[in-house]
Amino acid sequence: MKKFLCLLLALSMMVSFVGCQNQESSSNQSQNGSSENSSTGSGESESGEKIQITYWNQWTQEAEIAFLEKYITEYNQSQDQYEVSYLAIPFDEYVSTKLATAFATGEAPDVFDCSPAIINQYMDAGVCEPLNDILTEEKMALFQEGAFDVCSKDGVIYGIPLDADIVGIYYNKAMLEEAGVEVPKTWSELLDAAVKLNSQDHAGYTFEVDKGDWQCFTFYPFVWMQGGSLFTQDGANLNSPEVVNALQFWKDLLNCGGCNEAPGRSVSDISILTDGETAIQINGSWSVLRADSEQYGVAPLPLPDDGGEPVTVMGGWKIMASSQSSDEEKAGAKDFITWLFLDDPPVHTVEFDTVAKFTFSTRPDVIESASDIYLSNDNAVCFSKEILPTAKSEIAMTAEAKDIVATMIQDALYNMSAQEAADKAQAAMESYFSTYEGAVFVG
Amino acid sequence: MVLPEIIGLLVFLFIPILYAVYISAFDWDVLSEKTFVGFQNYQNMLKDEMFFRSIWITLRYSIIYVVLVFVLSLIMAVFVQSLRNKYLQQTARIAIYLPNTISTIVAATVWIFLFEARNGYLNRWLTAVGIGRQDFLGSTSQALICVVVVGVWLVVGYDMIIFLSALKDVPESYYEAARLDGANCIQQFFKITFPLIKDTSVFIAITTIIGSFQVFDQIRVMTNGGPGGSTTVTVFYIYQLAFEKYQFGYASTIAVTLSILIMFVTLFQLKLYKIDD
Repeated sequence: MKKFLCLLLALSMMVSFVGCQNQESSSNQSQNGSSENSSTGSGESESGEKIQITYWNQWTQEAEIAFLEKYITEYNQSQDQYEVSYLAIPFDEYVSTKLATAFATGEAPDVFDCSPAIINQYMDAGVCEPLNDILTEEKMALFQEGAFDVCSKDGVIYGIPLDADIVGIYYNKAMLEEAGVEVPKTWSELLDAAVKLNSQDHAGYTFEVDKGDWQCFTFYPFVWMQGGSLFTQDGANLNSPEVVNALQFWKDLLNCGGCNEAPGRSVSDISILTDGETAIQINGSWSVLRADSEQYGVAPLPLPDDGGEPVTVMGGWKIMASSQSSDEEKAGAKDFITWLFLDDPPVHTVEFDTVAKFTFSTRPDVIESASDIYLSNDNAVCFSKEILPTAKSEIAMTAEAKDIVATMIQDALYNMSAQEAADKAQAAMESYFSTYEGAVFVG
Repeated sequence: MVLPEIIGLLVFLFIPILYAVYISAFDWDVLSEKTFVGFQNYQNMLKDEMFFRSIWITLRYSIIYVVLVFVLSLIMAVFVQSLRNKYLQQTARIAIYLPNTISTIVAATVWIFLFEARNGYLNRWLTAVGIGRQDFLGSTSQALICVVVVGVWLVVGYDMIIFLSALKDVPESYYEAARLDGANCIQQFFKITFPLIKDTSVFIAITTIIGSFQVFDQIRVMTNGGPGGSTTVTVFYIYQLAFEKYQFGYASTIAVTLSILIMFVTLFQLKLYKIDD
């Protein structure tokens, strides 16, 4: 018995040790931002009287951190009322545990980022501060139509779009040439190409087979391009012919023998293609500058054989403010958001979208200001001229609804026929809608 | 000296357990206020297909894992014990124990490369001997076995050391007497060794079963519960409910149920081996 107690104690200590480690690494990261801010900020005696504003996000890449440090320091120097510090948290941890538990324990940041995959959860919970007061008519005019659809509820806007990620297919030019395969433009051409390009060393085609947000994100356009939708104003539309067709096409891709059945990493990572593991890969605009345009090409998503409407999905992060903050903190949060991302001319936003990372924007003035970068090579031109005009916003839905859609895709790929998976998901979604009272899902 | 242990257990074990039981009576998405629902979560659990599927997958994992860990660690302990050369024995012991020093995440990542469908070492060997390429982690029928392999590889060395210490306590004179009576190696093992290391065997069996019910790390890294949910064991399902669907109340309900299940399995085992403490 004593041995057993000792074992339990050891386990408890291990848990606490791991907990301490996490806390330490987070606080270090936080201190980096804060100390940089205070040392290069006003740094004067009144700095203690400034209202502290915290900004949490998932921008952990070197260039993204450099952007945050540069402009947060500049903001802190530009005024005497607020002192902003930031905490950049790795994506998985940020969206799954960190942000949610911060709100649960009343220690939420004043400013935070949300993607369409999680935004409804936060808007429905009422923890987001309305931003209509900083979105004057002049500022609203900076954005393209529909830019605020996924971050609004009942006419109230809760988020400002930071970027716009769109999806296409990347291909290895040499592999296609060697196999005598043309860039696929239709579903059957993609199936053929996957089989012909497949070899012992690399897969013909790679798409996301793991359950999750990224898989759902890349699935939507295959429904939309047939003129279909997963949701209508009347509710779920998951067993519609367009959804079933898209599921069947994905199932055919997986079973054609030319696909990457178990990619070793997320398919959002272009290195699957650039490491030579696949000839064609579905991926996003964020990879344009990472895939050498001499070796790799980009094309819009293939359309159904009997035609269809070219379309891609557009995701992107929104910056938001917490309603749990005090009035002074809310004012500071809004002032900071306005200064950083509602800038006109868009100096900060252009640098964020083109230097800190590469992404498109829902602000036409950003695309215009940085046209040299957005048209810098053939692949960027393809995204800018061919794919971006066809973009449709990602469906923002609750985590539970997303799970039903994600399970439907998994069921169709592995467990049952496309029709059975769609029918099962439709029943589950109807049951969920019978008690759901949040924002309507569109798309 | 007992007080710190009690405080540790209280803070890191009993309070979280009690809080999980408390949370299981609420509908709570972390972001909104908790709504008291009584036993509704437990009723929902009994109608949840995914829960029963996850239990079934956990049981399959558990059976394969426990049998393999127990048998392999015992065989290896006997093998190492039988080595007469002291340095050879030490080398074998270290070599078998070494995987246990590696973090589960690192081990799982390395094994992903070994299981890789096209360029993985295992498939290259299988192709070379004419068996042909396997999907491994991409196959609904093979992924769970792959996860078991990694789990066994990691823990078998640790259990071997425990068995080895038990084997060293068996007096050599028993074997000498048995040999004089004409007992062969197998008879010596089943008539002398195995009965005398019964307590250690029970300990290994219980800790291995408990460990198998709690498998999570390698599944999170290697398969993320897939493909098609074929490796979604109960603990991973709890994680998905809590941190992907934000159903903390319902996730706690399943966690409490799983704990009770593990407790019953352990009690049953102790009863089976007729050990009171």
